[in-house]
Amino acid sequence: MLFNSLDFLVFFPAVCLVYFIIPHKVRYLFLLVCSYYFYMCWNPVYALLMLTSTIITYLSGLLIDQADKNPDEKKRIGRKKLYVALSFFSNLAILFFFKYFDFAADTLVRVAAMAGITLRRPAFDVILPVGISFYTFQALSYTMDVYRKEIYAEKNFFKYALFVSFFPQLVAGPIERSKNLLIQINKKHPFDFDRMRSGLLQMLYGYFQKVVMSEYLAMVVDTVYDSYTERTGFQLAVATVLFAFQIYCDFGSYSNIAIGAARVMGFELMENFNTPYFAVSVADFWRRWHISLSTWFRDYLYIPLGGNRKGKLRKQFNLMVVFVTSGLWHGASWHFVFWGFLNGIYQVAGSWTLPIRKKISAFLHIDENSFSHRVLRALVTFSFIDFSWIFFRASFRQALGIIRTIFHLDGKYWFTWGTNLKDMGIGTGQINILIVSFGILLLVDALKYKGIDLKTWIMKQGIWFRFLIIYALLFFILIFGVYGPGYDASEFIYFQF
Amino acid sequence: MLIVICFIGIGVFLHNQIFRVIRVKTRKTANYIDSFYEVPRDKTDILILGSSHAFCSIQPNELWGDYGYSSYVFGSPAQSIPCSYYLLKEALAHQKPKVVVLEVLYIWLDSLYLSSGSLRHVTDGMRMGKAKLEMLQDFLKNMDWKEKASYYLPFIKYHSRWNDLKSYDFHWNRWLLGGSSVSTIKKQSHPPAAKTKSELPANAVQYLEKITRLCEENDIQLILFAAPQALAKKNKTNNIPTFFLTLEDYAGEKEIPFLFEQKNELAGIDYTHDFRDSTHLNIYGAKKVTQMLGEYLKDNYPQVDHRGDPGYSYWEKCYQSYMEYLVKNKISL
Repeated sequence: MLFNSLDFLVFFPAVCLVYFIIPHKVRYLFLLVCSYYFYMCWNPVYALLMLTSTIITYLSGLLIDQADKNPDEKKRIGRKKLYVALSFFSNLAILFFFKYFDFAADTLVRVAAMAGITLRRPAFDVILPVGISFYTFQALSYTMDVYRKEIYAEKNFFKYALFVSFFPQLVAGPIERSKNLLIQINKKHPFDFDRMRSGLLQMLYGYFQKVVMSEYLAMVVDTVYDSYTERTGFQLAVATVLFAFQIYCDFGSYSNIAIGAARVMGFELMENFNTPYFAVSVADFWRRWHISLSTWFRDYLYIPLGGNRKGKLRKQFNLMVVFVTSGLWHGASWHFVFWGFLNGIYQVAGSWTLPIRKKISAFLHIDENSFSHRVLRALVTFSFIDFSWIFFRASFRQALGIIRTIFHLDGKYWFTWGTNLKDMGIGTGQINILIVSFGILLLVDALKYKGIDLKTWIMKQGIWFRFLIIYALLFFILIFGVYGPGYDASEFIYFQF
Repeated sequence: MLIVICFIGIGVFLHNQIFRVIRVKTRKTANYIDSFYEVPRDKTDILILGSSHAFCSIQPNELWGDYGYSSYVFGSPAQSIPCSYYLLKEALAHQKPKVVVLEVLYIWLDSLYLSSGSLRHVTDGMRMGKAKLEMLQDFLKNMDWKEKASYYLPFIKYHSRWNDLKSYDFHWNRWLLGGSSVSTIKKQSHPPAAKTKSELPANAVQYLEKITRLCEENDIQLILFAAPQALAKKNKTNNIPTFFLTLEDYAGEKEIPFLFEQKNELAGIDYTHDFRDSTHLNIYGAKKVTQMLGEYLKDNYPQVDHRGDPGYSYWEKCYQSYMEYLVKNKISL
């Protein structure tokens, strides 16, 4: 079920209520059942897939632990590596089949066609199991962590299964580590009123991001991007900038709701977004955006490849591998791969040009730590990132068309007075709401950048103030949000029979 | 714990206030149903229920101005008899009427309500309470739970109206006491009298019986009323009067008074002047029908003349606003 659905708004309080009533010993079992129910609301059969990945990685943990007891060192290392390889291979194979089969098959057909060979691909109608990329990575991290002796092998299958399927972060992250989440599953979580309030407030903010901001922004971006051939460069540029915030609010909202929901139940999940658009470089951006995924790639791909320990050139190569893979992880399509590739190139180029850039700053006597310089760097970084978002949002061909228009390479009018911002998908009332929303977003992120956690500050204020803020946010979402069955005026316009 | 309760309490209050503004309203009438709660408790002597034929035919201010009778039209568009039953139940929690006038247009309807719009006109205005809960449980039996939710919490359906709010969402004409004020004149002609009789549908009769019983239990005099209708466009007659003929017999058997205006020409309606469209009277027609009702009550079920009584100043104030409206719009009745 989606977080912003009536189902979840009934499910979650019900789960919490029962959770805090039943004895500690059985809580993880209850959460496991709830998590599987949550998953099965999408597609009951695919829960078996998640179960399979769970069983494989659970066994891998036990087997690695077992192998570790082997007195023969060669055999020990060999066996351990074998189990890691088996776990990775089987899980990635499942992921490949369900997510990438169509993509791979189509690509193969196209490549063959270019060589003059016609291939007929088998018709498999594979529906993408929801969250498979997330839980697969989460399960694989456990195998690696046991191998590296960073976590004990969990003997209780059900506790491990909960680690893989924990419903707040199951379908959209943050991708958790066993060192964080599995440990917490083994701890007691007594009810804490303040912790609950903090969690609920974070969830409320997440709902604001999703139900108001992300939905309104989607209205504009979808309208403009879907009719991109008839749009001016200016409109496309505006839509592209707005998309950067749409994806931030959409994705960030799920993380906030996940983290908030988990906190209500006593679990602390890792932070997934840290004021990403305040980043001063692309490398910095990737330390602030989808942090759980970036760190996963760092720990389980970049470092095994050698990281930055095998020379500069190898480091750039490793970086490119990571980002192209990341692109592929995000979607089974070439434009996603290109998006990843671009982000990798940005960082490689950034690192090559670093000495030159430093020389220029010194020459112009720019204080690199000054506010104005950091604002400049942030704006430049945002531009690069936003440019790459075009390839995330649109297909390759569309993206090229959009870029041509934005950079005025097509000879059309770039900007027309009067009618320019009309027909972008929303009206004046909604634009006003959007402006207020941006204000809220900016305030929260700016404070966070400065190290101030607004949640804690609000909770410390007087009760009248807390009530005011919460009611304001709550009713802002309830009145201006996009949800509900909607109302059709024609249902009421009639008078007689 | 206390804080949680206070929080929820204030939240509910805020929700109610916001919802009053946001829910669907029409311009020229008071909010059909929820203006009822603005009337002082236990002071309404005559309660009128029914569809648009009720609120277009009866103007409570005329009953006050000529007779000093305190009344309210608890009507709404396409209000079915079952809806009227529950509205009566709800009314009895706030008022102690001596007379209930039930307008019977929808005696032809076999289902519990005509459409979701007509049902929502009733439920959105009603306060959450015993009558509303019973009604929703009775009517929404086969509905999907998410759609049901929008009846219990209509806020989720109408919140998007924030972008369409008009001035009448904030200031409405409560002085109309549920009646209408439209003065448009559309020439009509008298339809031929109905000759056949149609059988009354079971649902309508069942709920009519419930209304009758409820009135008996509360010592209320029930009066049935059928408003006049003109000849429909393109000479198409409707067959609703055929139901009225059967109802006449039914009412006779049960000894319930039935004011069948059209058949018995009780109010002297001028078909060229008193209609706003082919089925609804305008304010001129409403004056005549209301006067007819007032005379009928005076002769058969006389009520107290409350003019001058400070406890009934609400009706006096409404009447002043009503007279001002007539003068301002140069309507002479």
